[in-house]
Amino acid sequence: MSHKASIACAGAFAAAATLAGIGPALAHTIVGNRVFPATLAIDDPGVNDELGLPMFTYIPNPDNSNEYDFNFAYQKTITYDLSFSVADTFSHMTNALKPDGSFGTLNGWKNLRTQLKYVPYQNAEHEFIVSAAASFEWGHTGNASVGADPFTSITAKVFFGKGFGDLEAEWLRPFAVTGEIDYTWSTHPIDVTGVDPDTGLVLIDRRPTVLTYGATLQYSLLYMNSNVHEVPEFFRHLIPTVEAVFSMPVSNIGPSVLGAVPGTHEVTGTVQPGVFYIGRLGGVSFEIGAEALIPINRASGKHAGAVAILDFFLDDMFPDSLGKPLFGAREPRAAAGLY
Amino acid sequence: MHRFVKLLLAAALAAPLAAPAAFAHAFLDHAAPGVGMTVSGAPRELRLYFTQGVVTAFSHVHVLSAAGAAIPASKPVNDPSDQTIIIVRLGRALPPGTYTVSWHVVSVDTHTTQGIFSFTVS
Repeated sequence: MSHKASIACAGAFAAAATLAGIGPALAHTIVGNRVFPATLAIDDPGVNDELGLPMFTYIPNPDNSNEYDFNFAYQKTITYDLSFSVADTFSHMTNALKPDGSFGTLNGWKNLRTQLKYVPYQNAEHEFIVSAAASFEWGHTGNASVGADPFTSITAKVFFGKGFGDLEAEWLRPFAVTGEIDYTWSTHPIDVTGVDPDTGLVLIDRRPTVLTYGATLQYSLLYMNSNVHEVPEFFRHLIPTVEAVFSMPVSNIGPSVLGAVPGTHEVTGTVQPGVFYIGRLGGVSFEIGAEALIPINRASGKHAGAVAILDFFLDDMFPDSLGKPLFGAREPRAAAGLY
Repeated sequence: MHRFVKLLLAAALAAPLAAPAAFAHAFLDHAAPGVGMTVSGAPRELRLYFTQGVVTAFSHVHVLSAAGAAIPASKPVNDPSDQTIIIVRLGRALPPGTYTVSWHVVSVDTHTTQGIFSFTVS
């Protein structure tokens, strides 16, 4: 990799982190009267037993390639406030730069991701929850041609969620917000790839440390129907949502390169308006969601893409087997013996 | 890796077949009198329609007047023909005014849910 290309990787790393989402977004969360859906740009703030199968993403990349991702994820509760999840993404890319220098189609798995997530605090009355997670993307478990890194990266995450059901104004009560902040670093931040035969300079491949932050604004008709005012049958299952996620390299970036796309120090991100439908079919509890994926700048994408999810709620479907924690009671109130 | 994904796919395909018929969180689907609605006449009972079956032995429903006074009411009972419906008989016909209903229920799979809504008698 040339020095210029190595430096450009810093921005590309940030863009990829943003566009691929910042974690296995798969769990819905219930805090008091509030249902936080499994969102797509960022993860929701809770832990649960859930199967995301699949989350589909279409990304028109800045380099003119088109990327179609199928994300599979499974989350299992260990205790009611601690979960483990595993996820991976199959990527199909067209008009992509191939290893031999030509342009064409690429297929492959990205790196395997695992995550341990803990909820230290939640307040049912105020529909408030805070959680934290440690996430690992395991190097050498995916296909390098679709962007899988040969080195492991680690991400520290903090989440929050707040429903506004405790406000006086009735029309504000269906609103809720969630947020996530990630700090990602590589276990192999600097790699010497060779020596430039022309200049004699050492060629360095940098993997920058990246800060990613995102938020969602939700208006739950599910909540409105149960707590404020009845709404017609179909609409009472809907949660219109706007998500936004941004990513920026913060260290180990290297010098700027004029004309590099994405720019070496550039913030990338997307804004994602969409809607979620939470419903049941027979004994199957599920969520369907779809969002437009609007890049905030040229470095974040060539034009708008799309993302969609089909998610199964295992805690509802298999409450006595797959859907309950491995250890202890399902909910804190059950543990407290309040019923 | 591919074997893992195949297992996930198999689990998803099998899920709808193996799932029990009525397990989930019990959310309030609608009520009579309706959530946030204004009704005429004097209702003598409340009916709450949930998305899942509810165990009334572990469930509570309270009705308060606008002044915060508790309205006498029976313990909740299931509709004999449908476990997703609970009925609360009021101790007296409600005079005009706004009333607040707070409910806390346990679904048949022991998930707990709760909520508060109001309705108005014109």
